[in-house]
Amino acid sequence: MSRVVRTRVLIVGGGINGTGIARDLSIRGIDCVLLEKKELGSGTSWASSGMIHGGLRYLQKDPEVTLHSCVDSGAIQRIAPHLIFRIPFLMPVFRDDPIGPEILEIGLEMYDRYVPFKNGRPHGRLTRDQALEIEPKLSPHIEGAFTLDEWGVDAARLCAANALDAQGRGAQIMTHAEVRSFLRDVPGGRVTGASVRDRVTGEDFVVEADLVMNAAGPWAPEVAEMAGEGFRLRPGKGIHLVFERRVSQMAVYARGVDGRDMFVFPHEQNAMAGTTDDDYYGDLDRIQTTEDEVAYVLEAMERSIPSIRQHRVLHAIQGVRPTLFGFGAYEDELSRDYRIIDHGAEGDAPGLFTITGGKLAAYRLMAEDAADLVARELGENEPCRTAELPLPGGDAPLDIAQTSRRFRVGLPAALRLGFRHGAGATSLLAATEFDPSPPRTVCACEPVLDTELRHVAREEGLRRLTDCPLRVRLGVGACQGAGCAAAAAAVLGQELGWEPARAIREATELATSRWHDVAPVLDGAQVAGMEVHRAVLFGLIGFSESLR
Amino acid sequence: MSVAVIGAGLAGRAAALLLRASGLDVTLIDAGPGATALGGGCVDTAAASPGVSWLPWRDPLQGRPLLPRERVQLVVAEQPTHPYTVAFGSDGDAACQAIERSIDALRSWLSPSGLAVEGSLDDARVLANLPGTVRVADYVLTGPSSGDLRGREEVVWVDVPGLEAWDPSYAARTLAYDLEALGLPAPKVRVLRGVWPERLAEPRVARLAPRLDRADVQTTLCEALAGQGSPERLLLVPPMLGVDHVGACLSRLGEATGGAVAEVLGHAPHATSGFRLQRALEQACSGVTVRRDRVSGLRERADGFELQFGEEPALDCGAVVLATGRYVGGGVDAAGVVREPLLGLPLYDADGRRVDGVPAHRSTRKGYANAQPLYSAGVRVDPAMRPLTARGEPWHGRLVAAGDLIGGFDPARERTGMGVALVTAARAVETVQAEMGHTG
Repeated sequence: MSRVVRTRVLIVGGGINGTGIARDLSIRGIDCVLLEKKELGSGTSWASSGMIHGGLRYLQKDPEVTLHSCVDSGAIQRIAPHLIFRIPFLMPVFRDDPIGPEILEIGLEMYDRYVPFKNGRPHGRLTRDQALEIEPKLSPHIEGAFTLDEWGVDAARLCAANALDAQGRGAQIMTHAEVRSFLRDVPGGRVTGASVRDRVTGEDFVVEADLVMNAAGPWAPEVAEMAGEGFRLRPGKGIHLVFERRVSQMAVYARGVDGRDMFVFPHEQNAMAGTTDDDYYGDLDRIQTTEDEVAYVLEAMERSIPSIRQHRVLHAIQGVRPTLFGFGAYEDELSRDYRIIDHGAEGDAPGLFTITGGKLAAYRLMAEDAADLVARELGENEPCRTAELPLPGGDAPLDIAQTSRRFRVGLPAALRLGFRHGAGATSLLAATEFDPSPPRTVCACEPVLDTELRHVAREEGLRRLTDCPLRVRLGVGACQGAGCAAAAAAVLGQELGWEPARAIREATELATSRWHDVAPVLDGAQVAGMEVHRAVLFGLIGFSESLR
Repeated sequence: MSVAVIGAGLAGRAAALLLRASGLDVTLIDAGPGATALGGGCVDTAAASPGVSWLPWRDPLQGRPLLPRERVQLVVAEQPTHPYTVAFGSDGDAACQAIERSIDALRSWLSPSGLAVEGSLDDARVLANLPGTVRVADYVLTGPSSGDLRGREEVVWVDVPGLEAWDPSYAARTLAYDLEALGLPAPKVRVLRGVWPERLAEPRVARLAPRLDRADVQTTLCEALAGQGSPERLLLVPPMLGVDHVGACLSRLGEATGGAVAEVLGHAPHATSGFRLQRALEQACSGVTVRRDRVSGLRERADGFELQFGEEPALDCGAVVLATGRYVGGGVDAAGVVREPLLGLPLYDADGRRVDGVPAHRSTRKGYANAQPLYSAGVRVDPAMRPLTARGEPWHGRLVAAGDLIGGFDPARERTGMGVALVTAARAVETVQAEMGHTG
């Protein structure tokens, strides 16, 4: 007989929607279990631009989306100030722009009305010389520029923070746990839970629940299909290129050959450029960046920053948006609004709900809507409090200099640790405060300390080495894991009780997953980078399973 | 007329030293260190790490691990594009002899720096890698070379608090596991804690190693480890026992501890072995004319070649040895499309397919550990090491190539890169001597 876990709400999907709903329900005192088949945020959330921007782009067609995004962006800044960074934008004006600066400025003036909700500054106007002084790499052909103000966020970490908060309030967060089928009270009757497989241990178990919330993002139709329910998305693939360190100081607008707006922007320790938006009907578990997409993004960037091809592209990030279905419209013109489907009212699967569509910036609001509905269904009437209560680590600012001195860690490490864990960095580091040796650096690019890896394994339920790029940004810097894969596998091996063979396999899989993201964009200096990567990892860890 | 050697890594310096020894006038063009300086302490000629290469680990009939000599035999028998095969055909004995001659030469070049090359083709050493995995090595440099694990009763990892990538407790477990998985007798493995001197607590190998070149710092370490060794016990330390004086540091430690001490094998940035080799080679080349510059163009002349250096004065020479390496060295450029930047020579992977003229990513395959055409790509040469045009003819009678620039093999997977550098350099020099009417 397999293990049975009993809960009130089963949430399928550990992206920003699933984790956001888990947190909202937990605060209301409603017991829930969250199942994520890979790592928290590993689907669309990780592949997003990592911005909680208002969506200037949506102002024309979806002013609702812009309003929601701006209001909710302000809320996220309040509850997770440590995960947020300001991204000032620069929008260069070219003579051959299809929309002239006068009309553009009318749009920006309209946007200015929404901006205070997200603590942004109103737009500004720069002369050509001012713009080139701020961003010397800008094309000399610009005529001037506008500035506006947006916010970036570590999306994977935001998912983890929501999940951790929920867990601290009694929710069970299970990663690498995949729904195999739904339970029904009678055939074709109410959905009463799911049978689940743990993809790490291979264990099959059952989760029984009063209702099921399908928050599986682009996988949502597949999940609903398991209950015999069909609904359509217009899945839109988007890729980003990740550059080593900074390309520009500000985010810079670029225009694609088809007129689409894109940007190159600072993101955490690196810079990103993107994104694309193309219909995608391929395998959601094997999304690969293509040569066309890379060429399209680089070409767009080149118009604003002519030297873009001299920058080292480290890797690509690719994902699929769960965009609401629309027929006939171009991908970009599809609504970024969201929907909650009651499969009891709209179909034949009472007890199953699906949330889909939406934007990262408005995740909290979507979760509130979904949790309101769940609470109503369950006869609960606790109100939503996710906009007031801070996320873990967001309750107080962290004194970086003092943390660095007290815990014997370098300033960059303290800074990045404070970014990921906020005030929680203090208790995390306290674990090794009186050890004879100071925390050891495992990944020098980010940097990541062994103390942090131990913490996420012990306290955050991290299960695999391949989860580390998302959870702590290990292995996504210049070396792509060459310097840290073996060392990080050893730390996790100790914490999680892995046999050495398992640790070697985990390191191998990290290398393989990095290769998946790097190979499609291999060019220039990164080709030499991966030459070293292979020499190091082939030298340090064997790769032949047959021998081991 | 002088001979120009372009590239100052292992292949280029070997070629320069051999040319000078034969009495030819040599100019070595040094545009900075390449892959040689990033090496991990092994002088790989034939013995792949277990599990890495396409070569079997054990003899399928007898079940014993294959000797380096047998691996070379397998390479020339089964891999037609490998530079060993190109140079020696299927004559594995000739390839082995050439490797041994080259290693002897290398020994003579490195010995003034106190760096020894230990090992042979008839007995692979079993060494520990930094994470505790096992590596099988034919030739090894001073530092890790004393770390043979065979026949040890006890292996002790010395803890260095706070050092990046140094995790002795899990490494000790991994070592025990790996030895068992390979069917090798496993010694007792443990970790020695609390003895490392506080004065030497540095987070980075790159900062620790230069300090250990100093005698007073060596003394501190000797005092800390005094009496910790025994003849049956091997003490393993991180790859940081100095940059220029590793030999001296090791022998002092041996005396102080009363046993064997060795570095584990590691890679940059967690090891200094590659820098040691590079510096010892530079010292060996102190009598060679070195021009520190990057060649921007190479033109054929009636009586030889003209090397161009941007705005700087050009250099005329009678023959050229191209030892420019691959991607790290800059011998193959991959910005936009993959190409050989000096002459536009065609580039081929291990399956004989051309990879130049197309973007790098098109020569990749799924799966990190699979054979990647991009990383076996390089120029194709004739048995005299003359790069070939697309029509299969030598580009020029007195233009030869050596080292990683030559394609058809994957140094990371096959671990024959150092051997190829040395053997192809020797063969290339023979060609130049013959063409210049010189016999060394």
